Amino acid sequence: MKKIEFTDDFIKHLEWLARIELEDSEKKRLKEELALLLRYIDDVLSIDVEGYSPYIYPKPSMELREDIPVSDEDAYSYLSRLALEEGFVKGPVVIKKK
Amino acid sequence: MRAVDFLLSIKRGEIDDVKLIEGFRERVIAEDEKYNIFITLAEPDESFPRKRLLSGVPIAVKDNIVTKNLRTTCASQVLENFVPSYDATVVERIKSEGGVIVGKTNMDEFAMGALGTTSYFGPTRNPLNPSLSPGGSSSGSAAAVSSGLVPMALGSDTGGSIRLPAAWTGIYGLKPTYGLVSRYGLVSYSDSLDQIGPMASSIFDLELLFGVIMGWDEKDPTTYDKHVPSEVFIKRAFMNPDPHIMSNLRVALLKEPLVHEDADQKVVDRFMDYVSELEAYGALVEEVSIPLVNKAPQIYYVIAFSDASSNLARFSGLLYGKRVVDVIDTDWDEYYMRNRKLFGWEVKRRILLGSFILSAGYYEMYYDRALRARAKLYDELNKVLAKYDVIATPGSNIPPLPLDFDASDLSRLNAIDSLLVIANLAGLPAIVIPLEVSTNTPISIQLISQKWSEDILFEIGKYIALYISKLERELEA
Repeated sequence: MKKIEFTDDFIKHLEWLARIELEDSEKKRLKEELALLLRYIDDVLSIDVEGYSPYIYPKPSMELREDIPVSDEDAYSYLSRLALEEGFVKGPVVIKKK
Repeated sequence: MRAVDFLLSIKRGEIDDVKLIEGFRERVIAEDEKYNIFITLAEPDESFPRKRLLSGVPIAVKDNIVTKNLRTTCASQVLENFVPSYDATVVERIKSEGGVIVGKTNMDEFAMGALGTTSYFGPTRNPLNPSLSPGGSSSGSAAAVSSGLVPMALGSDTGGSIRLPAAWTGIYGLKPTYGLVSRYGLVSYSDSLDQIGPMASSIFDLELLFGVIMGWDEKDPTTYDKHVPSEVFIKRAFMNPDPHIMSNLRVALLKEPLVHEDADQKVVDRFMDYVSELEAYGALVEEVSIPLVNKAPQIYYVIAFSDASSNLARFSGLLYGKRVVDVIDTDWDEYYMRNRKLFGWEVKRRILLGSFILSAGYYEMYYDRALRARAKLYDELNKVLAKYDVIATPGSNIPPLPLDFDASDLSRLNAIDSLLVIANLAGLPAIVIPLEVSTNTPISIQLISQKWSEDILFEIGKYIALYISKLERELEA
């Protein structure tokens, strides 16, 4: 694997992956702390895991309950009025504005 | 006073259950200023069901466990105004047994932190010594119990978040077996590691609260239906322990946390004095070494941060969370990225690192490998537990850190993380039992056992509390 360089482009890529916009001061801080954190987690690479399968959940098989709709008459009272229009939740446009 | 004593007095008709919650608000207002324990207080409510297991007992709940009509913030600006429309299963069970939810406790933002200092609402202080951290992330729940405001509280534990605050504030805390307590209504940080658990000032109260909240829940498919019945724990919460438990006990003393380069020698020496006491009472104690434990925090970081980047993707201001920009002012990408600026720094950097780990080219390198290393650790811990009843470590091998500790000092954090995260990675139950309480150096023991064997942990815990630490007295049942 190529050595990671903490360039401005790399940080911009991370912001996009995480969908978090950072301030300039945060970008600087991230470069410093990422270097430290990546050095730390690199220890994982030295563990001999030969013969072991990935262990994700302590309970691999999950039984889901029946999907029965329930109504909550107060549901709309929990939603912000700003989010609603004629009974629908308003979302932002998904086509990029010019 | 212990909740179990109150409840026995109520049963005998000596006191009224309403007395338990009387004066609670006044006490909170006085104490909260000192320690910053609660984010939201519930309105006084005396309409709880009478003559139940927890009738009238005031209980504090960590603010990442949802409560119907009671604000749940996860100590984040993102959820500053979030009022849930339903109760978590554990809250439902407490309420149906008459327990009174008195408020939502401060914590590290989205349970990310070890010191209780990443909260948007400011840090919680340690009731044993307000200049020190109470430990995180269940900092407020620990402080609520340690300060005597409530006898019991709920916390959550992803990598030690119940047990470290318990160790640093001199109380009891249990991280249950993964799948033994419902996570329905717990705001996920790392869903394969998160567990809700009880915290209490008495081991008897700890067992009682555990008995009430535990057990299969159809709303959480990761819970199991085969386990020791809750009635067993509830009954034993009102009983003194088996007097012969120590003479048959086999204890594996884990070497790595004792010889860690950042372990505090004074803490380790004092802890070893108590280990000698266990032997004096008849336990067989033998040292075991699992070198992989030293790398457990790194395995944990990879898995937990990756999970966090996925679990927290829902907070964009659309369905959940506060908005910086409104939907009509922008497009989806900008809307999403700008609203998420409201996360605090610790949360941001964990999501950023987690997103990186899961990205093309690095998934196999880090994430897949960490999951395999997790399997190896599980295997090695279970080999030890096939020979011994419990694995013992200090609850913390360093004293509580100051509130202004620089959290980028990964070496000090590795010392405590390594003994705590192993139980989460393997899904095993782990209990922290205080041994001595002091303003600067509280000493405690952590015991880890096989899955579904919380009953053993409680029996040993009660024995230690009564006869070794002598922090408790026998029940007059």
